[in-house]
Amino acid sequence: MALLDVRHLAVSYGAIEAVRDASLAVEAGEIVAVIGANGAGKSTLLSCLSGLVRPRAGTAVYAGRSLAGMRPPEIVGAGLVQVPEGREVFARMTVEENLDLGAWRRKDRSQVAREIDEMLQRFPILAGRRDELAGNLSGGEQQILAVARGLLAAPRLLLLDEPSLGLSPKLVDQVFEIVDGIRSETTSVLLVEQNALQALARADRAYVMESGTTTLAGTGKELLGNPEVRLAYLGL
Amino acid sequence: MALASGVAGTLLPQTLNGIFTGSIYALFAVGYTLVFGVLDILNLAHSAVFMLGAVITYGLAVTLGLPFLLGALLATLACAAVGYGIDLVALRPLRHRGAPPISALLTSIGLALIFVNIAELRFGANSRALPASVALSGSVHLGSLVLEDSKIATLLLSLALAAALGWIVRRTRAGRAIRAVAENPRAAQLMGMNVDAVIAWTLVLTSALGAVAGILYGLSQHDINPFMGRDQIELKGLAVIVLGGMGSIRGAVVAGYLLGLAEVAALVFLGSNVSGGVAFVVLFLALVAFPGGILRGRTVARQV
Ligand SMILES: Nc1ncnc2c1ncn2[C@@H]1O[C@H](COP(=O)(O)OP(=O)(O)OP(=O)(O)O)[C@@H](O)[C@H]1O
Ligand SMILES: [Mg+2]
Repeated sequence: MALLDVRHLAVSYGAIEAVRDASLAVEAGEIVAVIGANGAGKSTLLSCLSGLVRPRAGTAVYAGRSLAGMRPPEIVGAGLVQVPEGREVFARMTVEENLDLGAWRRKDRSQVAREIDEMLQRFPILAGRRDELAGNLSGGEQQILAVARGLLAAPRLLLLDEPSLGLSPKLVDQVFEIVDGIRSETTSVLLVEQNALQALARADRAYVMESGTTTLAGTGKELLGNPEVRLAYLGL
Repeated sequence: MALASGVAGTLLPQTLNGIFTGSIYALFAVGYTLVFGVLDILNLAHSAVFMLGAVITYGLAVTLGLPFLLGALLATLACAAVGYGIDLVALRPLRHRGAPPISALLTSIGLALIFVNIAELRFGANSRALPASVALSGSVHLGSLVLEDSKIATLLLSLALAAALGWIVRRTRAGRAIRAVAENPRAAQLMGMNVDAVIAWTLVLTSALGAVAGILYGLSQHDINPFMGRDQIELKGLAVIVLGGMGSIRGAVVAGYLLGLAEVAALVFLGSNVSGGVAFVVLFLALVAFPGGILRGRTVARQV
């Protein structure tokens, strides 16, 4: 059974149907990408999975449990963790406090303290800035902090919403390398991206989302070779 | 000469009075400002909770005859529960609907009116004082200076509680949650934080402090009545949190003492009919001259 199985999900904001019919699956250990234009409903899909907005129709099953009855704290506690679009770090708190907040639901405090140290080692950009206010970091540094903060929740499935948005090409590469590094037998990634080229190149499988509907699915390679995708999302 | 020594003779005790009342303003305002920092709304029921603290204490200690400290403690706990109720009834439903802050302003005014009416029904409209036999009624003599025990207790307790609140917000895990929700509730939810619980506990904590402020006021000013929140603290509390910078705990403490001192200065130099308007002047000046508060930028989210 898939780690995440979403079928015919629909989400509305009042009269606006942001997600109309989204179906996708993530198997354990996979990186799955969702690509789509502005306003296609990608962030709404992730918000719904995180329990921030309720679906109007459809089902989402994570690790064998329906997400419908779960509130955000439970969802995070079960290892379904989102790194939101636009980073949303706590600008007025230190890097360390941000990382610690990522582990909010965890009880193993001493292990968390160790992982914070590891995280600071792993991302040289953050090392030595432990006590810096997150708001003083550059956009790219904040993005890496946001990913590191998400990892501290010990996710089984990490939802990444446009982690490369607004970053310099060099940092984009770095972020995608980090995404590659996150994927393991115990951690899967659902990656929402407008940078379709990089996302499809890294993803095991991918979906295209158009006006709230998942229209195409395939392996990353297949979609990279798909003429429609090449035209619409890769500009080729 | 006689006049000069008269002013000098009242100056010290009046200054002390200003510090005592200032410490009550400060204690009232720290909670008021914290709720604003977290929710971006003015909890106008806070002054009713201030009143309830004093009125319930009176009811328990005088009418029911419980020991004063026990009565005060129970009243504080009752007001903490009222704080929870304020969130549950007046704030949470609006928050979940994404209503604008003005709606919460109105529902909290509505609750304040209800609390005042209930108090009036149970307590009557007259002002009462805790009998000397009930509460701290001794005093300390330092030369010609007389310090009432109730005022010393007021000063020490409000300083200690305001400091404790600042410490909780800055240094504890609960405080980190409060700051996270103050800064970005959506991100706090994505961390798996129960934002409603954090807000409810913020109301519980701040209402308990508001109640203690009311009890101390009733104790040291010998004036307990259902309208004391509205008449004695509402406007002053607002002046203090605006002057202190909305959301700033330290600012509220400093501004509380400043208002207390400004009031006695007006009393001594301009007379008693002027001192009542000091809060208006302070509020006005704060809005015009210090729109960000006297300690600019020290809002809840940045009490680091
Ligand atoms: N909170 C909201 N209230 C009302 N409408 C919303 C809200 N959030 C998103 N929408 C609308 O829902 C649609 C989908 O938005 P969404 O943010 O999910 O798209 P997206 O694919 O993430 O876009 P982008 O690539 O620009 O981030 C858009 O039409 C948007 O205007
Ligand atoms: Mg988006």
